[in-house]
Amino acid sequence: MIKIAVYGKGGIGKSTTTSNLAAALSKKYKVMQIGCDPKADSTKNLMGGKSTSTVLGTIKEKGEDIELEDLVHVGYNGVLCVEAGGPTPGIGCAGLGIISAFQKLEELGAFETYKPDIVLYDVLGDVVCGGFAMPIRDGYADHIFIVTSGEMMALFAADNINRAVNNFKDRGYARVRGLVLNERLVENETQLVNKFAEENDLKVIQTIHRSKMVQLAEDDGMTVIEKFPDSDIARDYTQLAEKMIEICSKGVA
Amino acid sequence: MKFDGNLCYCSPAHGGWGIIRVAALIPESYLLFVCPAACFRHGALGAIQHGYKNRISYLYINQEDIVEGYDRLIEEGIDELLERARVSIKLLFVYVSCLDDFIGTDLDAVLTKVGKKYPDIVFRPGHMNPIASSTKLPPAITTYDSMLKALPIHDSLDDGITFYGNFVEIPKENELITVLNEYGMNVRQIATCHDFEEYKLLSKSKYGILMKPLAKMGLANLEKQTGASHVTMLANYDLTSIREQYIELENMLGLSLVDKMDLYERKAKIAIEKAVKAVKDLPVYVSDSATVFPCQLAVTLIKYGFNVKRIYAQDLVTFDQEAISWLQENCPEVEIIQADHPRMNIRETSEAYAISIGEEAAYLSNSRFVADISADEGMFGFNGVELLMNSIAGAMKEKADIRKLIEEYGGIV
Repeated sequence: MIKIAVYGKGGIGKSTTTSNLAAALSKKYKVMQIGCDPKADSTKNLMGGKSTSTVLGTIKEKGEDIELEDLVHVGYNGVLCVEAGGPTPGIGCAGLGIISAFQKLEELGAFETYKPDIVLYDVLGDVVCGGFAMPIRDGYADHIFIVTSGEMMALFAADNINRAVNNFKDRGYARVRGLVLNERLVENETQLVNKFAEENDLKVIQTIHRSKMVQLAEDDGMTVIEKFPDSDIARDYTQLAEKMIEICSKGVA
Repeated sequence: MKFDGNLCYCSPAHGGWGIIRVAALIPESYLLFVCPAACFRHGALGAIQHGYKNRISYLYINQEDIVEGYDRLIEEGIDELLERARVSIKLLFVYVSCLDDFIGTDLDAVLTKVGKKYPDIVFRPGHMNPIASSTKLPPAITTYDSMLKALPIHDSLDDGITFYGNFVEIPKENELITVLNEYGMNVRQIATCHDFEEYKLLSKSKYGILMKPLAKMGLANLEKQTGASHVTMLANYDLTSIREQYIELENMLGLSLVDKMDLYERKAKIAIEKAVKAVKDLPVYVSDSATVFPCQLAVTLIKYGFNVKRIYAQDLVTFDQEAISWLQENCPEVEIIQADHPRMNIRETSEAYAISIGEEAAYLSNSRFVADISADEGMFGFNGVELLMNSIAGAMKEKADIRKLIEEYGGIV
């Protein structure tokens, strides 16, 4: 089982990247995608644009006696979709939400039951507290990929995430295996991101070119892999999927 | 059937075997609690009362530590503790509080790092998090699991048998211990371990007996590693059920057991007759501080001829649901009272001319007679029935000093 966490600045396109990645990987593998964001919209485009019940919402509604079937939803091409969920904006604790959701999935034996080949964690924003470091702990993701653009704040967030991961390097946590450049058409974008990568001893493993098709597919509640499988942008995601598997199989970028 | 969730009342009799008392059963173990100064006061006072003062320490953290994260402080605290400790520590439990459920302290990672520095000491995490009490992983279950994870995985298993879940020794006079000893089997119990080396042998047994639900998860995790097997023999005072449990044990061990136990069963029957005669028609109140399955015990006592009128329980556990159905059908007049309901804080002031089994029922009902039984401890099989009945009959001889009984039985530690 390969377990990958996708991090990056809020709004950078992590969920779009992760769900397209899941869709591409599902052609060859059994994939589970776990959205770790209170908005609970990570897997929406794998579920025909529909929102699904979340782990925390289900615990709140049904109490402790819940089944895996209440939490794991089968999406496009058999991708197993899970949303951790979280608090109402402005109250509660999103970090604890992730911790609780992970504990529940573990308690119910989600991996043992579904036996996915690949698990993708789509994680909200920076590693701001213990809850957001949960996906990279021992036993969860083994590999991290950071989605960034050439925008300064996106690179700033990528740097924060990379530093947080390096802080834990003596703990056997997941390691950053590479960057994904999600183009925003910033001037000199490729050079900027490559420079950042070089400074941090990382590599840009794939560029996702800017494409209107992403929006068009999402308007229909789909990934581009599903809606426009022969498009250039679908090819970007497919290449990203292949490279990620290659890197994770070797262990290093 | 379940009680409604509500505010909880904690009576002075609430307690028995708490986290400190259970974890401290492991010889040469020590407990370090990492928490804000306001936490664990109850446990600290109880620990002093029960003589564990020199087995526990506290590492206090403040608000700044919480904001910044305090992994490093735990490491430094352990260093200081080990430097200053005057007792031999072979196993160190590091307990964190509910707070760490929120901030996500990776205690396992911290202890792995510390373990490399002190290879002669076993470090185990503990979670004293009452916030998880209503979940499937309350502190009692996770503590027992952590205790069993301190056991080594031996290269090979022997023909021994280990009891899991009991805190007090099943006495040598017990029929099972006697018969197993006659067969020359190694019988292992945590309560009889003299030092940590002996404790480590608990996981060498090929066979196990699961005695309490709280040990189920820990034992399952242990057996995944060792390949050992067990039978479940939860608290039971019904002679027919005890026989059935023994037959299951016979099948696992491939030994004849029940045939050698007739004498013990007869002694249990005689004790039942004596107790029924001593109690006569007096109302009997059963408490979940005495047994993990108070409703099942109530049914058994009714079948033996006792006049059971009330059951005091904090929770109605799954294992007891069948007994609850039986009571609803056959004895609907028996009251099942939520022991921690806020209304219970108005204690009955007039003495109840009744016998309570267990301290919680004794306190709440203010009953005249009390059978001093706690968490089924020390009682097992036919001998367990005999001990229970002797305790009931003995309780009828004089008015109980409830305060003294509660002090001896202990608050939550």
